[in-house]
Amino acid sequence: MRYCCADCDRTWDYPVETCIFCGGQINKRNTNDFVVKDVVSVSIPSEDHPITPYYVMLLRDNTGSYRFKKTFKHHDIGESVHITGEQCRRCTIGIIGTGITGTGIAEIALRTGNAVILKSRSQGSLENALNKLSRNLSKGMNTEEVQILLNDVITTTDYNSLVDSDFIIESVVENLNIKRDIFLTLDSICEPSVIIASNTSSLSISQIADGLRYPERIVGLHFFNPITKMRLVEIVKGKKTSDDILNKCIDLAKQLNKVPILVKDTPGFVVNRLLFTMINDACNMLEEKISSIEEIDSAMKLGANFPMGPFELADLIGLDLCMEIIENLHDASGNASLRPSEMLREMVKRQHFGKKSSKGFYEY
Amino acid sequence: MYITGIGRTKFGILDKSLPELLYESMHKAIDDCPFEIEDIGAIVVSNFLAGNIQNQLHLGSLVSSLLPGTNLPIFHTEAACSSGGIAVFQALSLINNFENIMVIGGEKLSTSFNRRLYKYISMAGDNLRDQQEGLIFPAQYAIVASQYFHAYGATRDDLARIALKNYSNAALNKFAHFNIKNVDLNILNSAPVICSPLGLYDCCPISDGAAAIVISKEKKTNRDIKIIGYAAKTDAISLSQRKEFTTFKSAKLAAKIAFNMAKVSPNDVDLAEVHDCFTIAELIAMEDLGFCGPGEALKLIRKDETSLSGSLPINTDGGLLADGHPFGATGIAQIYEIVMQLRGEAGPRQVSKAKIGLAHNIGGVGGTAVVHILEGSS
Repeated sequence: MRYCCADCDRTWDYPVETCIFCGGQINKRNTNDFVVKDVVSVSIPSEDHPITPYYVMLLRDNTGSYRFKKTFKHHDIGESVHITGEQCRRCTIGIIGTGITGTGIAEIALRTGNAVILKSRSQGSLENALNKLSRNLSKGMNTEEVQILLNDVITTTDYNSLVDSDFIIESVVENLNIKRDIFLTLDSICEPSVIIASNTSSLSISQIADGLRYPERIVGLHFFNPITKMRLVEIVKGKKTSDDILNKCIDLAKQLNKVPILVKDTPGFVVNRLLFTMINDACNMLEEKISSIEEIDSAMKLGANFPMGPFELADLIGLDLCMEIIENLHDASGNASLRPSEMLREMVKRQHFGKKSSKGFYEY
Repeated sequence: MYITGIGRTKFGILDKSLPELLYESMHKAIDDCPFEIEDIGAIVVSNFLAGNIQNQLHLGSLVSSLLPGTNLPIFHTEAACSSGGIAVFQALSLINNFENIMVIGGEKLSTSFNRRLYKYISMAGDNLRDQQEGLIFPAQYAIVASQYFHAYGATRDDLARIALKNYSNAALNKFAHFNIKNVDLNILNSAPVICSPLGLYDCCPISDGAAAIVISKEKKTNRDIKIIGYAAKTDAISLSQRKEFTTFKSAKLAAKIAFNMAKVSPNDVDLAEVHDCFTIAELIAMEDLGFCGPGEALKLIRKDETSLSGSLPINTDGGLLADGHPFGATGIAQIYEIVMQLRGEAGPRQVSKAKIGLAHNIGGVGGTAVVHILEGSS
């Protein structure tokens, strides 16, 4: 609210009764519509603003007056914004699945000031996820601060609890039928404004969206593990995904402090298509005895400046998951170089899954 | 009016308490001047955050405890980061009533949790308009930097030049918080972002420290430095209550008055201590003081004109960026440095033929501005 002298046109930001300069009467002036004049992002937490990064916008109204506004959503300079409440509105993000990816997304969502609705099949896995979240959040925060963030988490085993979300991100097993069932359910219970995303790494968004009521709000949001460290999000545009939804996803990714890239709905998108072709080829090279595990890893680390070699990476991802993704990519693309290597097949058969089973290409 | 004695502590993360720091600086100033503590008629003490951090106010009486039996009139002055400059201005305004006035200032910041400290420092901005919207202090100057970038095409490289210069000056100042030699462009460029576009080395550190000067009505010795111009001005506390974001009206007005009083022009200034709490603030200061026109500070920086060997050396002690910024002490320490230079006692960082020096101290984002112009006797 601004207070303006009716006679001399001086203005105040405080409720004054008469003008100290000319004694004139004071009129109130209020506006909720502003243009973004500048934006800075704040990366350091302070006592009253513990969740970072956040943005502070310098806003200008149509009379030329300015104000600042804190927000967790990125706005561009020149954009028009309508400020209603005093508190900036955060997103509510529904997350289906409490595996490494689901809890990772929940953690970054909380750290960037969003509310989270966490859905899983059992109460037990929800409790485990909450414990894990609490442990991970305690890095860099005290108990009180962690608790403030955890107050923004709702856990549920019921899909109906997700309807209040702005975004829903599905992160369950890579199986088209299971995902289709989930999306059918969500599509039937959620308002059309709710954006429903899959974190799939290898399935087709268009196929997931096929036959739904509102296929334009179905999108791929592919995060990378470990989610708190990896900055990339692949935003996957299905055949019917609307541009408006894509823009909202770009905003969300930025708000989560990630770097979004847009990609067409093609097998493996960008990262996995390149990555798993390489991992599969590395396995083929091993079969052909071209070089050893350690030497191929060294080659890529020292010759291409990769932080880890293909076998180290495959062990970290899990060989069963690698196999599943390579098979999916092969089936979807028909690309011969993605025919799963016999060696990989054999290792998965023997339950050598990599780091998680203590034995893969390396022993742990 | 003359400055007849100066003293300061090292700036940095120090073991001493606030009273100990104040005492050390007062002791050094008295040792430096030609008379005794009993000849002091009044004291102005400058501090910003002791009320919050140490839960200690009534600093006038606290200083009296450090000077048993003197029972002097002592005034506490607070004007955020310009508390020191305002304290000197206040002493000059009082000098007709006393022969000699001591101005001391200090701050003990390093004992507070950083997150709490950032909140306290944000008290320099408006509570409703700035603090509650998350505009912590670096964010205030990030807005200024972003606006300056848009207006004049400055880049992060320009800011890095300022940081490098001030760090290399501090390497010659044994009292500086960063009296170190190994800061280079690689370090600056790999530093984390604090508030975009400002990185870690664009921001002054959290420092402890104290400084003191003695101001006398009459000249006592040939080492005394004359105060030929001084002014303080204010402006609305929040940037959002102003129309211009790349210049501080308070500083422009204060500079104009101080130059008129001193009967010199910006061209006559041989060296300046300006309030570089963030790199961008040094550019703004150069333009507000009239050393160049709007947007032209970039040229001077790019041509290295403000380094120790340039035509107008700025922040020869390392400035707030590298000498440190113990708020209450800062404005006084700037005058300490000018006095050292004008006396020819600045050692390895001595500016040759320095006769006129200027100190420019800012509170908040230009909510308060103080300018002092000093003249050496040679």
